[in-house]
Amino acid sequence: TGDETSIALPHDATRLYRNLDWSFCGPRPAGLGPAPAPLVLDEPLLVVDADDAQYDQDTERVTLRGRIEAERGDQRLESDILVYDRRTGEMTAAGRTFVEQTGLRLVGDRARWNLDRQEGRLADAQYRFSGDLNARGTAVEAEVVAPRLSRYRDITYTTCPPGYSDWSLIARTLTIDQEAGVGTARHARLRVGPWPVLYTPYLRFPIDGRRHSGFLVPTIGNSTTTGFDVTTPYYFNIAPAMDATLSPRYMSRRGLMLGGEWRFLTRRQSGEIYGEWLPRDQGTRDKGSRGLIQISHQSAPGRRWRTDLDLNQVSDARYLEDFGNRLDVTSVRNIERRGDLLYIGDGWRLLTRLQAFQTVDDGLPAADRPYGRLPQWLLDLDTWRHPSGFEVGGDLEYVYFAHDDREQGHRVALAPFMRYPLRRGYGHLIPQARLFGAGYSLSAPREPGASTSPGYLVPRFSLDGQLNFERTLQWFGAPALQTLEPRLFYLYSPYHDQDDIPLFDTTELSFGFSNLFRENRFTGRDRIGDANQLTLGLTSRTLDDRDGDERLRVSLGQILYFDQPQVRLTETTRGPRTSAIAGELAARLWANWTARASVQWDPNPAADGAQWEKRVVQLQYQDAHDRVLNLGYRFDLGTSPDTRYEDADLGIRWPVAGGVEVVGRWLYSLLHEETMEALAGIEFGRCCWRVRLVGHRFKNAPERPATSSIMLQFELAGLGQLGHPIDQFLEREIYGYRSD
Amino acid sequence: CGFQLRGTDMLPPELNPLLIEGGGATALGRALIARIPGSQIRLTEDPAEAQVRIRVLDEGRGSRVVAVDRQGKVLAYELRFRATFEALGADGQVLVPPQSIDLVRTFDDPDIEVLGKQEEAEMIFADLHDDAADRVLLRLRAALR
Repeated sequence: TGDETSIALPHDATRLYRNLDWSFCGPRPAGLGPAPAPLVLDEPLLVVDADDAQYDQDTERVTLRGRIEAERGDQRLESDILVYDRRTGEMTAAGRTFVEQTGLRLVGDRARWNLDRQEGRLADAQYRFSGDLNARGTAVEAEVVAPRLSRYRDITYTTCPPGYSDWSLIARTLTIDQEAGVGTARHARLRVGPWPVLYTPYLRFPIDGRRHSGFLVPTIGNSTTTGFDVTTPYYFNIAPAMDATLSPRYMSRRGLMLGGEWRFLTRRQSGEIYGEWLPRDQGTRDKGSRGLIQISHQSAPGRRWRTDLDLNQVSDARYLEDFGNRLDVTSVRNIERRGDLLYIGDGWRLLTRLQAFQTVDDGLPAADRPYGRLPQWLLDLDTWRHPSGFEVGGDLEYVYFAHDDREQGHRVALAPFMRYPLRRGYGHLIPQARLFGAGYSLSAPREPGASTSPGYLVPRFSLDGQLNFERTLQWFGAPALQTLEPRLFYLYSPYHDQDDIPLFDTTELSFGFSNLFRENRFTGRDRIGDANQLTLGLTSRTLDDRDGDERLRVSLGQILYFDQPQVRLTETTRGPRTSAIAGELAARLWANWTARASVQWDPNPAADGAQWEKRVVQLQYQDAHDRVLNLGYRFDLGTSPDTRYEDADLGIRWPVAGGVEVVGRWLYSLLHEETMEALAGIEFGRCCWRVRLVGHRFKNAPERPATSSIMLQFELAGLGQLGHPIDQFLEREIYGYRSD
Repeated sequence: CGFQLRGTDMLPPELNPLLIEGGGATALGRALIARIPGSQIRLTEDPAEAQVRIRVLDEGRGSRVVAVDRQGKVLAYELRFRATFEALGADGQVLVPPQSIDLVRTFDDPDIEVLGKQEEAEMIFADLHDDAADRVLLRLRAALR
């Protein structure tokens, strides 16, 4: 039993597969929707059809011969010779017999079946599950114990389609509980091709989409910083809305790390705790313990209350560089700890925030590390609207800015506004006046002799106007609507000396088309930029006339300075009368291609500056067959040589024929002539198994060559479950990549 | 060259009032609501009265690193906003079938002036929400013409 010959199909086994497809392997994917429900009748009738029937009145037995078909509710039995006992309902078949009920078909010999009690057994059986689970196999004995519970002895089991036995499970016993959605095998051997690879005395696996505790797909890898690296996550299904994953990870150069995640979700709150702990890091001289903890929690304790907690902490500044597995993690300089409490009033909101940062970049000087807000209170008034269209609103904020190495301070700031917006199809006109006020109390003056309680009161006036013109035209053979949207934005704000005020939360906005229309060229409230300037902007869209989809958009804009801005974060020479020109382009070229570009060009650059300040060009192909191709080029002159970059970015996911798929990403710095991140992977397999192999290389830490790693995952449909870390990794790396 | 000033109405007036399902619960919903004041579009919260219902089916934001310095430390991110919406008429007929809007912007941030840059990132997301709201209205306008 259990050898290859018994999987080969005898003539009547084709009955198992007739009119059933094998469009998925193992548990039914959630995307297909639920499987057809069993037919339930109150008083199901037994209907029997046969070529010949003989009834023995003494024993009340019927002997049936030739093309026997018995049906009761959703059950069906087919055979060529059987005896039916009317008193017990028992059917005893002598020849090859076929039995079917919702989700299960069986073929076997020497069947004893009871259609009234929905139970029975077959010898030398073959079985096939469908609906919630596509799986099949053989058993020396098969027994249906209850409508959705069956047991098998000396079995083979696989989720591969008929005709393929890429892998199979060979076991002493197998129980399939369709009600609970689990399969249980004892004394099981896993065979891949002709080779036995694994033995386990006990194996429990999910047979449908429901979550069950168990091992997830393990990842095996090798990396230049961690050495041989294997993670075997175990999933705990604690409650319908609560689960946990424990991920022991062994790294030959580091030691054994324990990772754990716990998640829950209720109607009023959701939370997640993630931690990693390496008790003895073999890769460091002192072999100390290292770790990471992340806590995130959101709740709505009442109709008007919201809380949001986001805590991140690592044991040391190099932790993310050493253990992070992608540039997104290793390249950050600061990680956040923040707790928010929000009260939503009628027409106002009050935010209480505690926020601080842990710097994880040893190269960042102490004075450049961010301020914490301990606390921030922000009262935000909803815009109040008079029936005439007149609007009033504003906010009031108190913050204590905390820092270990710089002047600290309290700040109270307010910014009321009033405006009279007019919006029509042909355009808009929005005059607005706003007053900015702030007062400080500093722990030390910014410069010797400066005030420790500076402040300001600065009014501002703006006028935002836009007109919308349009015409119809033919665009690549299709009717289209082209718009022309000129926009003027005038901004006036008087100069106020703010040099005594430290920069707590203020930085200069980066230049760009949308930043041309901002009311302040700084973020935060420590600097209110003086202005007497006019922004000229022009946008043109080409819209598909049938569905309004944007096919092309081009924008251009520039600021004219009537007076030179005097409020500056750094000393600069007097600038020109006009800003750089900012332009943006977005196009959907053909059905699956999109292009984006944004550029910045300065007609009168500073003496040492170049005319091009920014160039970003991106091209993407994405189609319905999971094919993705991203090409990008990004250049930024930067505010200093340290922040300059120029890179090329390539991303690809391309399914090749025969279930083979290649993935790749390459981020190359043209400025430093160095690869910053690169990955290449291949995924192949059939419906019932997948192999993923990914090589990855990235610049994870200063003064260290790039880290290289290789990851391998082997997945058998129906034996592993849930998401794979590699899929999640690829989703982040390749824009447009989505796992099934 | 054939350009004409667009009419007074952003949307055909007989389709007033407009219901934005979920109201301010989504960023796209909030951006749509902010587009309305001063215009001739009327909003309602009563599904029975609404002539057009806009439903935000799904939305999300994301960011990833797209440029690093020589040390491998971040210089620029790519911020992404993605939303799916549909628009239904008064008797439930589909005016705009479920559509996705996927918007991306490059954001220069060396992760040093953290508080200020967090605010700038929020401004960029607000721009993306506004841009998405514009596209929803343009799609609706085309579907209703």
